[in-house]
Amino acid sequence: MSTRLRHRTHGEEEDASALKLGAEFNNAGCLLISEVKYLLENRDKDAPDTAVYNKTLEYVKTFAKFNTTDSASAVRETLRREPALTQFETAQIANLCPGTAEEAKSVVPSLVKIDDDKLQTLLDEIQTMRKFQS
Amino acid sequence: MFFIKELTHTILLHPSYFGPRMLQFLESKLYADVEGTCSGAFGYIIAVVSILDIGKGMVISGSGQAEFVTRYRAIVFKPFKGEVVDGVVNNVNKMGFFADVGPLQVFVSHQLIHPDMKFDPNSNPPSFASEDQIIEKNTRVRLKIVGTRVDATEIFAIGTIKEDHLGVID
Repeated sequence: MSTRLRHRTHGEEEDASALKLGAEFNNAGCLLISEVKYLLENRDKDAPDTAVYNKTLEYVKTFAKFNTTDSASAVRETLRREPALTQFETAQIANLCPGTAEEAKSVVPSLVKIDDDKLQTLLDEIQTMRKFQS
Repeated sequence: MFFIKELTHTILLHPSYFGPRMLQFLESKLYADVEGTCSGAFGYIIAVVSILDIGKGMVISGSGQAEFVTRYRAIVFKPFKGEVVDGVVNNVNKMGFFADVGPLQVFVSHQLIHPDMKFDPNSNPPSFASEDQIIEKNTRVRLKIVGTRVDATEIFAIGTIKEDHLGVID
């Protein structure tokens, strides 16, 4: 009985829309899809032949929004200017690249704490970077 | 969401491996043991980025095996309820569709697809279609994870596209 109860409360704790990622991940470093792509493609070891690895590699190749390390770190730099953003929110914005503040708040609900105009400026900058990356 | 995370793994080493090539063996054993595995607490461990500490190696009394507690840094993928992710559709049937989000498979039930999008049993490949949008194999979709279930070796997730800003992406 007690284990079941503990299990349930644990399940309720995790909710990305309220930024609750559980004890293990609340302070863990989030990676952008573009960064994962860079890390996987520049491994000094041979790629392991696991289904998980291959599927992930295919996924990050499909959805990486920034194809150079420079543009990915420039995006991080831009988002760092807004101190209220958590790691998770930073990564979500950079991975999904929402066009408007309204869309951003809809896909990442915890962004309500940020002023629309401020958020829109950040999003516009990211869109520009995406457009002009080499 | 992808994370970079410090994790530990315990390796039991048989005495026949004690010798000059032991460290190399430990490293390859660590890679083979953890890469591609999945657990409820950490999600999928995709790749080891670096080994921080291979461990001291304590010989266990009684068996002669040595226990190494290795610390390493890895890329992990863990889905969360309420998270919005992009995925690629890999299977469509009348119940809904399955989308691949990296190693994770997400099922989107027809109840969580906008009612305008109808299943078209006569199309080849099978699809959900409305007047201006179509979901079939290899369509890219943006979906929101509404729940996850953890198995011993896999995580399954349920998603929805019945909200603003979700659905087919071009």
